[in-house]
Amino acid sequence: MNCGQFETRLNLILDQRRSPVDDAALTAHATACVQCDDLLADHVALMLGVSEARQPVVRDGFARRVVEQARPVSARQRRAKRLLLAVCVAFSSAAAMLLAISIVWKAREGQGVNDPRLVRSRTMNSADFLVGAPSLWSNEVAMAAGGAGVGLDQVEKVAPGIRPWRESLTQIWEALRHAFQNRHDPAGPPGEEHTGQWAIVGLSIA
Amino acid sequence: MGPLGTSDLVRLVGQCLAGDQRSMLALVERFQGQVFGLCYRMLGQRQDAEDAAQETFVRVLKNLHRWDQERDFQPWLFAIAGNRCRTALASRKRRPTAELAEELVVDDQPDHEAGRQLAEELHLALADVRAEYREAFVLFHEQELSYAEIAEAMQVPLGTIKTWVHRGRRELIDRLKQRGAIGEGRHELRSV
Repeated sequence: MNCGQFETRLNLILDQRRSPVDDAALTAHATACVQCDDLLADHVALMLGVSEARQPVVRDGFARRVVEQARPVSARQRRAKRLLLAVCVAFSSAAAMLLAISIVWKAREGQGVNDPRLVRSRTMNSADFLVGAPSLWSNEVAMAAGGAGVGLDQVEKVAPGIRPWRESLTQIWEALRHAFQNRHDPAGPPGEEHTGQWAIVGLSIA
Repeated sequence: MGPLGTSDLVRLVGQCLAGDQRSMLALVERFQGQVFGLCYRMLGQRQDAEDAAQETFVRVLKNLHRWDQERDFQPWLFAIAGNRCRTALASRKRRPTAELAEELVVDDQPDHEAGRQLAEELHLALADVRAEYREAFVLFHEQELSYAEIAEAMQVPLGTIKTWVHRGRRELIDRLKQRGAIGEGRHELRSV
């Protein structure tokens, strides 16, 4: 056995949790080699230190403190959490919708709701609502930008980036409008002058 | 507390998941010594070790439903404990060695004076060894986990764990020699 083999075997013996001093091959080489004898002695001393090291003990009440701090999440609790989350989302959505309605209501007041065309009917269908959406958006942007007297064109002068977005949205809404009008009103589309106001009334009813 | 069989452990975990606090207490009490032992060796300080052990068990209890019952519980537990220790090590400033020395576990039996001193020196030397070597060494020699279990707990290949344990031993011997705890004139220890 050479010194390299000695160290390999020493590690093997320790990995097997055996005492290296009981291994004849190791002790035989160690008696002939001072360096390996030192190495063996050092490892034996280390293992003595390990065996003498007492396992530290936690303070009393440790387990109780842990259990008070944490309870595992049961399947029932997880379901309850998911339900709570869904309720929160529903309430948030309702709040957002109420906010939107209040904004629209405000806009309607600003535009003069006494126009008899605005209160024509409370039995609109979904097509009427969709048809009015682009005008509604235009009105809202104008209102946000500085009051009822400011038009969308003026807003776009200040923020030119809005224009392509508005044009795209308008095209989409136009396509939807035609689709719904074909389905619900085969006699022909309502007049353009009515659509924005219909949307406002629709949202107000909602 | 006696050893817990796999089926007993599975049943205990099931009761914990059902919200039984007695079972939770039993589970923590069963493993608190081992987890605290690892944390203490890793962090070298009682209060930090207790905090890390507590965080470990809180996480374990909250995530019991994620434990794969096809696998051993201990590697999973020690993986969480190891992570908490590494986080604690990374987040705290290194404490002076003198402060650590005051917090050693004291054995009052005079017969074991030499062994006790060596154990104290070993505890101090462990603080200077690389964290990976230290964790692998403690899990193998103190907690007596197998190499396969340590590999699973530390999520590294088994061969790497062996290398870390071997290097950990050599580094500890070097540190103990530097401190004068072992070396010249200590060959009589071999006969202990």
